[in-house]
Amino acid sequence: MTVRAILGLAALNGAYAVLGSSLLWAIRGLPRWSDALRLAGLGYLMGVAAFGVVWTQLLVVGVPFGGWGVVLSLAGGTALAIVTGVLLGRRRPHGFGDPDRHASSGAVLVTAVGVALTGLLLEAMFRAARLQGLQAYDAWAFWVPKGKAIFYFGGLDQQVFTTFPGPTYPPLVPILDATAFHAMGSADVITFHLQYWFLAVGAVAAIAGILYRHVPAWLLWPPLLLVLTVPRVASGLRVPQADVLVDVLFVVGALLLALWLHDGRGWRLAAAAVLFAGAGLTKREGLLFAAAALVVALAASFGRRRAAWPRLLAVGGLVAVAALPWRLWYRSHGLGGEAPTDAGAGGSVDRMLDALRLSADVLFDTTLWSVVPVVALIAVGAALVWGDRRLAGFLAALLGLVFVGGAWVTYSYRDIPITANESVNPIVRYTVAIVLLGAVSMPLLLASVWRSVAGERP
Amino acid sequence: MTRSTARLAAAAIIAVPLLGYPAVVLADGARFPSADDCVHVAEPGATGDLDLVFGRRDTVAEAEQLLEQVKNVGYVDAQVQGDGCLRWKVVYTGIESYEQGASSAAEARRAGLDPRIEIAPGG
Repeated sequence: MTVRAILGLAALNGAYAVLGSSLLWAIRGLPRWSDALRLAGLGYLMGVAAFGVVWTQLLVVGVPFGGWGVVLSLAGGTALAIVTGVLLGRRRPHGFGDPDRHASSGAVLVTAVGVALTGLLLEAMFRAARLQGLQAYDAWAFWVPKGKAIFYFGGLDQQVFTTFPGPTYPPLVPILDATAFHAMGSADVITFHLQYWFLAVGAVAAIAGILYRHVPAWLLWPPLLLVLTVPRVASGLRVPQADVLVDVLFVVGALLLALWLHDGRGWRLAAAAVLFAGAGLTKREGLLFAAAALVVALAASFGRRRAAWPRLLAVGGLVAVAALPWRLWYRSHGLGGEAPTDAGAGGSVDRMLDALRLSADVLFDTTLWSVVPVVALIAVGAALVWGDRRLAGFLAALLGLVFVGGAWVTYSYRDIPITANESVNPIVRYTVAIVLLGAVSMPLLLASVWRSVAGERP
Repeated sequence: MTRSTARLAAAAIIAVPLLGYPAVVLADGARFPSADDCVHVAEPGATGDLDLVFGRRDTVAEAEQLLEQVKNVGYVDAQVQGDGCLRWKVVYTGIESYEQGASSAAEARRAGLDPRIEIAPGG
């Protein structure tokens, strides 16, 4: 609750951004400082994901977790990325400006209004997060206690990680919590809500930075602002649980995949691999999301499968390899798997229909998401008819698959009742991923329609 | 509108609200709660749930040392509890009234301790 704790968190999150931006520079190159600034949000998310993935493996093999270990891993990871970049012949960024994009005066002003409004919203969230109490059940019941266990005991304490609720949940978020405690100098569970504020800022910056060159400003900012202010997203952003992070890592990775299908730039796949690996170690559904995105990308790239499929399979392999050690750890400690009670066709048709109906009811609940799902569906439909059909097909199929995945979760875990009550059924939390993906897809989809109508190349 | 005018206007659109809002908030003073926010000393004659708190320490080990002293004086049911502000307090929770607490506190002071009657945290 002190300035020192806030500054510690700011320094830590700055270090995540530096680590991730170095990775981005190594895999992509950042010719100008404006590129580094534009992609700083993506770099930040990559830094968070890479840090969490590496420390998950280190904790599984018993490396002690502490303040110096955090500093060394961040500095070592950054140095390794820079050496890799140098070996790959990347040049230092120089100069500002963006020669690939000549924005009109109107676009500059629209961007300014978008940045100002989003910034004001985030500043208001900062004020609330700084003094927010630990109230969400899952947060105080097991996410934060697991983070405290790593902070106090320096590793995956067997008692805590095998007996607390959600023992098979991956440890990436508790690792981030423990790191935040080190950065603040204590297990201050009030100020540490700002860690989740930093994640929200990074997510917004990543999405805006990725889309900036691909869509007009007037199509970029309204959907982004809309989704940040709809009730269920706004209320969840500062909750210290894994839901928002897994959704953000998945959605940004999916955006990169969508753009990769369009332009085939390999660095997008490498970045998506890091984000999906992070998602798989953030929450169990992270693996489901990553698998859905890769399966749809495989289908969408069928026409150039010889070149595309080995790369996509490599991404899938990396995600699986990253996810495996944690699964081996909890198996070796006598915990059962994550498989549902009725994964196959054992459940009734009635339950399947009820689960689908529940998913649809939740998705179109305007008290949760306002008009976001409806507008996203209209954008998908318009792009399928008038815009970039490959892009629209990819996003429509991914949205559909993730939607069916949510219904499958309700259907296949027989102990989950058919209800939108969040304390007994995760469907509302799960649906955030669909809403977020729909919202950030809107600019791409509508831009493709706009270009088509205006006679430009989609 | 020229390009440079548009850029100036854009800079103003971003800078004015993003600097103005925190400036207005800070003009009122930003409050930083301290560890003392978890200390609620009871006024004489206070009613409700009261605790006899023998002191606070930064670590569990230090608090347990103090607990040992307190138990040696006779408060065998005293215990160590987190105080909600990252400190550990040694507390006796069996206080029925302010008067009883004051009498216990006086007795403890004679034994060299420094207890205070505090309003118990809400359950």
